[in-house]
Amino acid sequence: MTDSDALVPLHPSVVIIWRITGMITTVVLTAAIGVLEWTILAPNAIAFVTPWFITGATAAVAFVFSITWPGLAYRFWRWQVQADRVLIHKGVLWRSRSLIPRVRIQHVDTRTSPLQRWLGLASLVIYTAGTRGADAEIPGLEAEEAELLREELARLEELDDRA
Amino acid sequence: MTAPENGDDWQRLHPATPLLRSFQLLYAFALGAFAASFGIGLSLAILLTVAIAIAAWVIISYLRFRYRVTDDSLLVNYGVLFRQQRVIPRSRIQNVDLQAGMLSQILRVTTARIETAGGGATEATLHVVSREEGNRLRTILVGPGSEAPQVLHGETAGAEAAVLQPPPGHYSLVRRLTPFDLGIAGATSNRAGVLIGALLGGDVLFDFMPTDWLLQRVLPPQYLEADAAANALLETAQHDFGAFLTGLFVLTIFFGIAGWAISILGTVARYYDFTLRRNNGELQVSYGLFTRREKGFRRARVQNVQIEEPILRRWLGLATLKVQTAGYGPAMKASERMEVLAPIARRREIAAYLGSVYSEFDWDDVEWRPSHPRARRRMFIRRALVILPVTAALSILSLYAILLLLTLVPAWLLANAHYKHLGHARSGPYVLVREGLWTQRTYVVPVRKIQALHLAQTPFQRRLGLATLQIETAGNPYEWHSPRSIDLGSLYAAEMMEGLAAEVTGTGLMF
Repeated sequence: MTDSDALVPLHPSVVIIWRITGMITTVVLTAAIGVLEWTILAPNAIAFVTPWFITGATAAVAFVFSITWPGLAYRFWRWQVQADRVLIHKGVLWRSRSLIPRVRIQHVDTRTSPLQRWLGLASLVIYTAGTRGADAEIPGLEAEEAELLREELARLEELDDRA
Repeated sequence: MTAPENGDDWQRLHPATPLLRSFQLLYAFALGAFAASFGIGLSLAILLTVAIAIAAWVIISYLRFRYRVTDDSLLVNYGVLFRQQRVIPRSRIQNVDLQAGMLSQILRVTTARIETAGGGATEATLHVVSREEGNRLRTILVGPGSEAPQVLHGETAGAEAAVLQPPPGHYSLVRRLTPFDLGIAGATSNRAGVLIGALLGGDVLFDFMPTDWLLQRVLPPQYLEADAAANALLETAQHDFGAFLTGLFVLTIFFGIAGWAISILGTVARYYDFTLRRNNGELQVSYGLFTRREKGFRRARVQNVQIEEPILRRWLGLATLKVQTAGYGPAMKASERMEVLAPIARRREIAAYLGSVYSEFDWDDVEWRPSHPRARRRMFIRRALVILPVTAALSILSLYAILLLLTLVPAWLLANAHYKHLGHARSGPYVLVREGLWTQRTYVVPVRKIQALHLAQTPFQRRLGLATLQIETAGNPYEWHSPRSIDLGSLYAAEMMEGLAAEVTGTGLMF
């Protein structure tokens, strides 16, 4: 696909957030698999390759994945607010390019998680009457920029004059 | 709140409301009490106490419930402990549905559900009002003259003069289905197959079908000792293969006919006397034998129309038509959010049905364009990706499994057939897409109803230079994908998205 380069990347710090959430997922997943292996497999002396191999492999794969994937995801994440539309390009293997006509925007939220607040970032969430609002979320923006964008996107009257 | 002189006075629900509600509540409770099997005496005592409590509750809530239609809103005041006042702007009301169960039909009352755009659930339920009141509400809330301004800028500001009295005799009949039509719908429904399966499974578990009686007639008596029909049949198979085949044949026919009959009866009862009416602004469907449903919705609020052709109906030249209205929130099931426009339609009737929703749309004039020819290759790869690993895995067990590779031939034929089912078209201010090999689904989407556009590529599509264009409108369910055009050439798809986006912007603001 073309012209992705003309669009804006996210704030680089978003990679840190993605890695941290990835790490948390890794820990939770490893713990869950570990408990399963400890309570079900180990007492019955069932082991794949060596005892604790499944737990160890899960931990290793999830760890590597949560370190490397955010970098890739960041590379392919691009967005831009244009005069009449909002564009969002994303996806490493499964690519998607979303186009939301500004005349269809119902309302716009900014949202910050504790991690985002710590790094001074915010998410912009765009809602249309098409109910899947989750499709139009821009996750890593500087908090101030997100506020400005929210204000700008909410100003429908100006858009109306132009139309 | 607005000046009362322009609207109705505060109104109560129909006086039968407390009676009906107590009945329903008590009915549910009675089942519970007896199911818990306290014994008849205790059950009755508990029942009586609860009945008095329920009666008091429903009478108070009946007295507390009042509603009123004003120039610009529907006001509803209700609540026994927590009192609520709800204001529903008339411009936001999408549908008014009427639904009457058997008891309600006898009492000539109906439940009115007010649906608005957005919001998770039904906005207000008037349970119950008289049938005349239900019709009056529907006419003044979604009927002619109630049309809210769709476009915020420009001409429509003054055009909202509300008409509180329904103009007489303004509906024209589009189509009424006979029990015969509905019988065909039931006979060709996929549900028949499901029912046959359910009957078989249920009979094995609970033995409620007269299978023993049937088998007594066709199997030699010495094998009928076994307790279940299936066992008797297996017993026979070991001794007398001819009798076994006869028994199997009889059972197959029997379950086939039973499943089919239930499907036919079910469809006829559900859609009994299906009637589609229209006037300038509104479509109205009513159907049902035991539970009678009447739904009205503004034509301007229809987000898209879906034509569904499962393979059996397709062969017979039949289809089902549904409309997507934005009135039902995402909390409802997908099947409840689509409104049936025609449970069964002959192919040549499709144009008339579509015309009743989109008067300027000409179905016979649509020129379909195929997806990119490379789509065939992707459709084949998709199937080969299942066949090849399975063959490889089984070949480890037996080399004969390599013969499974022969299934690549039908896979290629299916891929070609699948490709032929893909397509898209433009016709005036409408965009059409279709997909689906076993069940073909065709969507008609007015461009001004488009909310967002997505261009999606799987890794395989990327290699082949293909992309899928998804067209998002309001009301599309989470669990089912939006109308989409699969496997367009990626540059072509990007241009199509660009063109549609420009057109959407041109139609201006809309809610």
